[in-house]
Amino acid sequence: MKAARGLARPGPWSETGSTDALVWGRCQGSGSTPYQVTVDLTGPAFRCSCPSRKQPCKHALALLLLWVEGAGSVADVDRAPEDLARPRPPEAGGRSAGATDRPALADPEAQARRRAQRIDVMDAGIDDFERWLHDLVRQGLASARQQPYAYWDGTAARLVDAQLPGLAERVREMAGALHRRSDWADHLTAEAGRWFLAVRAWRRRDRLDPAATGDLRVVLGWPTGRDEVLAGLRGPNAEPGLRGPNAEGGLRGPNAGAGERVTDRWLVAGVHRTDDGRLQAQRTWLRGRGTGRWALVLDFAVVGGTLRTAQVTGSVVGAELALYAGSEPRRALFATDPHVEEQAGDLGPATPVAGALAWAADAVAANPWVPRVPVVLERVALSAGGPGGGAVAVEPGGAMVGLVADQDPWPALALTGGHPTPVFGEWEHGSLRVLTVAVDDTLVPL
Amino acid sequence: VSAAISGAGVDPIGPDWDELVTVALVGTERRPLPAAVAPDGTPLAGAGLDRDEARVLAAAAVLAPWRAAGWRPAEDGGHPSGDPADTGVERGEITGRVAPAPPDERPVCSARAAQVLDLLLVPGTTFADPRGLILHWLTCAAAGGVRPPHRQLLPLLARATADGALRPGVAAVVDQRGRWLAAQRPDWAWVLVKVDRDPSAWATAGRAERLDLLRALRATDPGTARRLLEDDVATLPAAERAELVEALATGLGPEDEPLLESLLDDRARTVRMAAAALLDRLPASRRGERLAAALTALIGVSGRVRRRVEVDLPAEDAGPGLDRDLPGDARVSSPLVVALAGQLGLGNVSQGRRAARLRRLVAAAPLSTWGRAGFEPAAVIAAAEDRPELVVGLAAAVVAQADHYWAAALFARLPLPLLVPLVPPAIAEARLGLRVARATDTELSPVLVAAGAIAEPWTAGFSATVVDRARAVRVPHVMVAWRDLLAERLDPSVLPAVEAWIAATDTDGLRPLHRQVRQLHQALSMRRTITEELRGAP
Repeated sequence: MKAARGLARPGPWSETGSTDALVWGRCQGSGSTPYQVTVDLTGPAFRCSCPSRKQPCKHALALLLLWVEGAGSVADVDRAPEDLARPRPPEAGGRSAGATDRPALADPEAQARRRAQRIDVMDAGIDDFERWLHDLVRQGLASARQQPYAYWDGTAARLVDAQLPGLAERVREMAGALHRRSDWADHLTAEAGRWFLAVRAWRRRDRLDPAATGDLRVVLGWPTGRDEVLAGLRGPNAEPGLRGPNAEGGLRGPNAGAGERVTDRWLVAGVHRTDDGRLQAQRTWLRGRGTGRWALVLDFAVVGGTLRTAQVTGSVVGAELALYAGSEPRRALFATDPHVEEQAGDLGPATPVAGALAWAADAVAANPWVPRVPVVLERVALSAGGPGGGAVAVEPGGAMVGLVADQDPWPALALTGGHPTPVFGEWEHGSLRVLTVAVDDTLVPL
Repeated sequence: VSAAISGAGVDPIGPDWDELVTVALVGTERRPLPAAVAPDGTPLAGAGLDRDEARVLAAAAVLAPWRAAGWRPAEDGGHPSGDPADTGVERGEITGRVAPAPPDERPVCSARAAQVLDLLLVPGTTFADPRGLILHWLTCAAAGGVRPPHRQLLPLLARATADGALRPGVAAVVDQRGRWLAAQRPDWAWVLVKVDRDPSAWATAGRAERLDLLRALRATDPGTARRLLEDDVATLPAAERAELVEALATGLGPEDEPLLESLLDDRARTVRMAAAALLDRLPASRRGERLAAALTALIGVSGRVRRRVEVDLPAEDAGPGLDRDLPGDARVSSPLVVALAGQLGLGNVSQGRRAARLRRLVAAAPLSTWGRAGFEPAAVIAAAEDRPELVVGLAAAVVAQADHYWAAALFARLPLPLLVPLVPPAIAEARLGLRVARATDTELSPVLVAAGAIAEPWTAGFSATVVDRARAVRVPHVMVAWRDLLAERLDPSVLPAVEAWIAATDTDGLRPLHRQVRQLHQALSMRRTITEELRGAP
């Protein structure tokens, strides 16, 4: 409370505002990015982008104090800015935790109107973003690297305002990556290319097939609601897609569109959890025993909340999945409650490193924005000290791939002892994140 | 989108990408894009690609996935084969990596034992401080010849790295896989026997290494260790001499006497005191004889029918002989004397110079002196009743000389924790059992601490006595002091009594106490499970 008092003055605050139900603002903290703070007065519920785990944090309390005492320094407005009124989508295309995306019984006309409005806003945002990209390349990436964080954050904020939170997240992440990565020039060039690709793809969205449409929605950050996926092709609001008024002729196959159902016995190949201080995210990779298809189930929860209980790595669950629109490997929902049928002793068909890379290349060809693909390597030895000092996975044949920098290799080393074993992992930008190792006929999660 | 990629028709060879990055870096306003890398003819090359910026971005959009898809892994320059014995060196391969771990020697523990350890290792699950139970697990596993599953090696290594008391137990059970891991991480080096026991290293070792070497060598070959010190003792600086002499405490025996005797003439007082402290433990030494003579001169008898021991205070000036044998200021107490005085509740008793000298003398002189003067321990202890310098001196002598006969006699009057290890467990339990039953709530703690020093597990009978008495406690903070001790020492046969205790405290007024008892019960049953699950290899 004492800390909050110190912040309850107009100085560090910008873009404050309030409605009957909501108070919001941006607070300049110790970092270069102002924290986005929102207080829901009906709860009351507090949301803040600062890393503090206290609920409410000092920023939220200070905002409340400022609002109560500030004599108009938090101005009343009719509606909150979109990005503050809703928690930021956890991952491009992710379902916002705890947020009710849309009313259960939507008025189709109002819905169509809202969609048209959104597309207008996005159109303008994409044009703006393209101009920014042109400036970036004209002035040169080297000079962009000299820019303060605010340069990237400002662009990200405009993208959020334009309902393009997926792009916003990527732009925001670039600020840090430029100073963290030694290959920043390659990275920014490639990423700018992917951003440009999103711009161009948006312009010709009416000619994209459903898979590409799904991939594009993810990269832009236009979430697909859970109910839309479950309703699939059957519901009245089926597959709203990105079709504009003239896009009724867009390619729609039964494959790769939202709502496709697959029933199988799914091996839970691996689970990855992250917690960035605000949000917990969980990726569950499933592999159909019969179909051989991969599916990714995402779960999110705010910090302090509870993630949906993960399926146990190595179990085989019978379930029907509803797939999101997109290229393989596809995101999915459990359409029926999964029931555990057995414990698997192996990961199923595995490939050498070369085979996994070929599959990853196919995935990139189908979806140039794909962040990661699941791979089962048939026999690699994990080692703490690769040539560059980082941990590596080495194939007896000689292929050697690095592990992702954020993975602690020691648990995997303890389990495998440096012996070649089958592993399941995520292939991510040229590195492997090992999620599961198969030792002694048991699948052990890391 | 995919058509834009696959139909690009762009040669994805490195230099083009590098050229593109170079242009992007400096900016198109300074450097135009060479025509070679422009993705002409691709579906992207439509409207809007008339500007250089757009052409650079389009090229990046096309080339980036090409690079990602065309990425090939490095070839390993030479890696150890699956054979643990083959480090690759024989094949002429130079590799920075270690060979795979050799197979473990111990079988893995039962699944239930592993589950229990999981519970203990995950922070904040069941126990506020699971350390005692983890130690118990490690001890039982070491005795049962089993090891934890590999997945538990990391949490065990991490915990023991932070908590030195766990290290010997962890090092004993981690087996080959644990040692393989430890060999790769400097912070886990404690797992490996790293102390060099090679005497030839002495000459070139630094101060800290010499100390490590001497300590390690004393445990296995005390004679060689002593000779190393003997040869060099004159040339080492005083602080190091004292340190090394103290290290002779390990493996101390009569053969060490000549060296210690000579060190009583050392230049440095710290060395003289260290030597004297070790000689206190060797009553059959020449110094012992000299001190016995000095003490005998002070022992007198009063009374003809009922003989009573009288002990005179030594003279103010004891003479050079006694000063040599008892170096240092007598009023500065040794750590042992401080501990004993504390356990006797004599912490603040200040004494005159002559009384302090007597205490020093009694503590250092052989206990057999009293017998030769014709007195049984009980008579001496009775005479010492109201003379703190005698009580403390006698207790210190008993502990230093590890005299069981005297320990039993002294313990009958004074149940000091320091004496407990010298007393047969049955006798210690019998004596302490009476005191437990009679103790007030506040007296209970010291008695239980003394009982905690009993070398063997508490018997069922003694455990029952303790629980009966503990159940009468009504104040939770009293119990906090010894709850963990009870959890560690009580025999599992008292579990039903503890359950009854839980039920008895399940009332509004006794909530905090109730919680304590429940935690005690949890820990006890956990301990029993550990013992049973790890009893012998499966």
